[in-house]
Amino acid sequence: MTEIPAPVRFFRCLLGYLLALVATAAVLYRLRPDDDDFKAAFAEASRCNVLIVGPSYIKVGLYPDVFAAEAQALGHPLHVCKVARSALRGYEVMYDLEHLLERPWPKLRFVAVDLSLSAGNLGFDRDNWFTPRVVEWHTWEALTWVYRYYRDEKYDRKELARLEVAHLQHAAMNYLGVGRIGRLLTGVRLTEHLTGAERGEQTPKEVDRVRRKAKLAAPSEAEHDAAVRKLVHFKAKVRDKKLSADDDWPRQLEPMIHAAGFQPVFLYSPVYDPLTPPRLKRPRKRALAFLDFDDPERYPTLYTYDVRGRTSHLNQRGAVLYSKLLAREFVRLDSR
Amino acid sequence: MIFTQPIFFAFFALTFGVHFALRGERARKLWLLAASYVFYGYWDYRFVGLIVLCTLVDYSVGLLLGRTEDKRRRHALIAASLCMNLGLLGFFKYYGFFVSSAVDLLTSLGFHASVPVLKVVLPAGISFFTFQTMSYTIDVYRRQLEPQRNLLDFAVFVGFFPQLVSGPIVRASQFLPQLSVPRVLANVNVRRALLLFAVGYFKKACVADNIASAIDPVFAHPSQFDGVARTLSALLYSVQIYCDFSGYTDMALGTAALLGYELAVNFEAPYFSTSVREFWQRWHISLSTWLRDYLYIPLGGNRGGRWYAARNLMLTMLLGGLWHGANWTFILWGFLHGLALVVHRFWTGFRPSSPSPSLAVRGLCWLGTFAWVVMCFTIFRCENIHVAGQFLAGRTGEPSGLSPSLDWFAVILVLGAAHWVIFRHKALLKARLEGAADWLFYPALGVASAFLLSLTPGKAAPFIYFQF
Repeated sequence: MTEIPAPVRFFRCLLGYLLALVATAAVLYRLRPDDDDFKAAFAEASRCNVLIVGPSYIKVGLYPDVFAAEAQALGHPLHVCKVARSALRGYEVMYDLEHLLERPWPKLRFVAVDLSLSAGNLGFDRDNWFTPRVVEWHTWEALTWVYRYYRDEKYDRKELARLEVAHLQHAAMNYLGVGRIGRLLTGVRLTEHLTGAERGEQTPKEVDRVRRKAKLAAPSEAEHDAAVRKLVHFKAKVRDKKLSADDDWPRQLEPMIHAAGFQPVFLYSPVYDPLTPPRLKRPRKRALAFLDFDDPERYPTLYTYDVRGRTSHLNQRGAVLYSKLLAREFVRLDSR
Repeated sequence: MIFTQPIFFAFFALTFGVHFALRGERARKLWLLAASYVFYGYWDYRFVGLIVLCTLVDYSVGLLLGRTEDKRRRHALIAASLCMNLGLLGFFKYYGFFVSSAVDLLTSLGFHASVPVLKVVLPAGISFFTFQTMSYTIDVYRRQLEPQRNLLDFAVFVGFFPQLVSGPIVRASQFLPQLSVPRVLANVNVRRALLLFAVGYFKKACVADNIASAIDPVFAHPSQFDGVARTLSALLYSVQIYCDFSGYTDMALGTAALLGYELAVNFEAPYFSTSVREFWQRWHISLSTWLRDYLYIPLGGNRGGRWYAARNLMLTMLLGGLWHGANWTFILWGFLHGLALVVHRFWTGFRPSSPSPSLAVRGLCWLGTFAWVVMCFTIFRCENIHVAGQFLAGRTGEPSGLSPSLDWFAVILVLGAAHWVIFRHKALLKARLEGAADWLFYPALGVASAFLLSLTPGKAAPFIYFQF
């Protein structure tokens, strides 16, 4: 028998190794399993007319029953369902949309995306690195978007290199099934995302104290008034100078929703943060349907002190009002 | 740089490729030395100077010892080497500990002491490379080893990156002869090396790092966890430290083997020991044999009667404990192991063990040994003696939502059983794996790698023994 030359043997072995590695990784790779938020939305899929995807402002600020009742009262029945996660923003929105739009929605007409948490932001804060949620949106498609994001942003070269390596690590982990096959061990791992406590920096009691403190940290009336004044002032400036933000981000979401056969709507929730709607930048393009609730002059009832909760969120009373206002806007859009 | 980090894989691919592409042993050794310094300097380049200093001083001492027969000069030379190595170790590792302990003692006696306390950064692996170079000069002093005349060879021996920061503590008599033989890629047992690395990776990244996140909160605040959580955490820590350290060693052995070098075996399934004496013959073998050869035997060893031997044993173990770090927990750990060794020695002196004990006796011996080792490691892991006291005897806290899941018990059992099977049938498994056809071995390794990566937690924890 003839001896195989060493370099040929080496490359054959390497190829065999790499093919098996990639194939196994591909088998291990799964899309994120449906969590409770998705399950709740899918349960309503057969009668849902409006699907709203957004952060905690939607999670705590939108009551689907109130929305439906208001639409009914206006003589235009509409059912809303929501997929809302704390701090949902950036690429994760696109990931969630992709996942949601794969399913059948027989009665769906509008898909609304809440962009209150900085539209084009990656949502790639160091504190959240390697958490399952962040790992899972690192698909190859995401990397092209991430590349474009960094190309336009000005970062220190060293920091940029670090971020790029981190993104690649996340993508590799995602495709290699880390965090998924790792869930075989879910039962034996700590599942609570209490980073400080996990690192042993905080005791469970301390974590609890911090949480409680955060819940109590509602603004004083004076703080609230100051924030509203600032926002009114900002909005006036926006109107006078025709300020508008980059519309790149919603423009990327828009075709996804259109392609699935639904009408895209973007919205800003009533938060104190001055937000600039990206609606005027590219007049040649079709205008985006944008609902800007972050405007105390247009929606004064959403900015009275008695409807505000903690950390820029509405309280229960505010959420009822917001749900009604949302219903009215969607009835208006649907009646066009 | 940690073996499990992606940067290491890039670093090693480059080192390996260039090492075997270069022609001439001198060029290869120079490359290996440069790579070793880069590996160490990646952590903190300022401390590369320490390795260079140890290398130059001990190389010179070795040469001078080889040139003189004068007893006093030889004494002075070995003293200089020991002073330099122990001085470095003492300053970087123990200065703060001794100063603060002295201040605490004086304060407790009613004196007000104000001594400047320096915050000294501990260079990674200092305990390993100083012990390694000390063993060389002592061997030359004892005339058990010829002095190394080639500075490059000696520098590679001290700085060889696979074992530089966490051992095994390589003896010059084992390593230097390898440097005089040219490395040939065809002689490298690639499969054995890759298997060693893969097994080490599994132990470190998939087992030890996953355990770390589960038990760190319990060791940080033991009083807030109930007895079950603490017992489970103690067991898990024993698994973690074994997997962390032996995993590192396996990866070091595999990495060295890929470059054509053999390092000493450091672990032989220590948790299957049926006595503490046997445990120390299987745990961190390179340290225990070092302590035996350079401390226990010079102290008198077994000579001079039972009580002298006991004293020597206790002193050796206390210093062995202190070697791990500047903390009373390490000293207590060493003391407890020393105590167990002394008790074992007396016991076997009175009642020599049967050559073929029954299964029940062996089982009981194993259980007792394992429980003792786990208890000692629990103290070893705690931040200080006070916390260790809380952990072992503290009040039972309210069950916490952060407690490690009881499923870990099942994981320990499965891992233990797998370890036992592999240990018992090591030779057969090795023959099967190393003898498998290429088309089967490498794709299987690829599949295994994907699983290993999938079980790796996002944030790699540093090796526990880096701090020693």
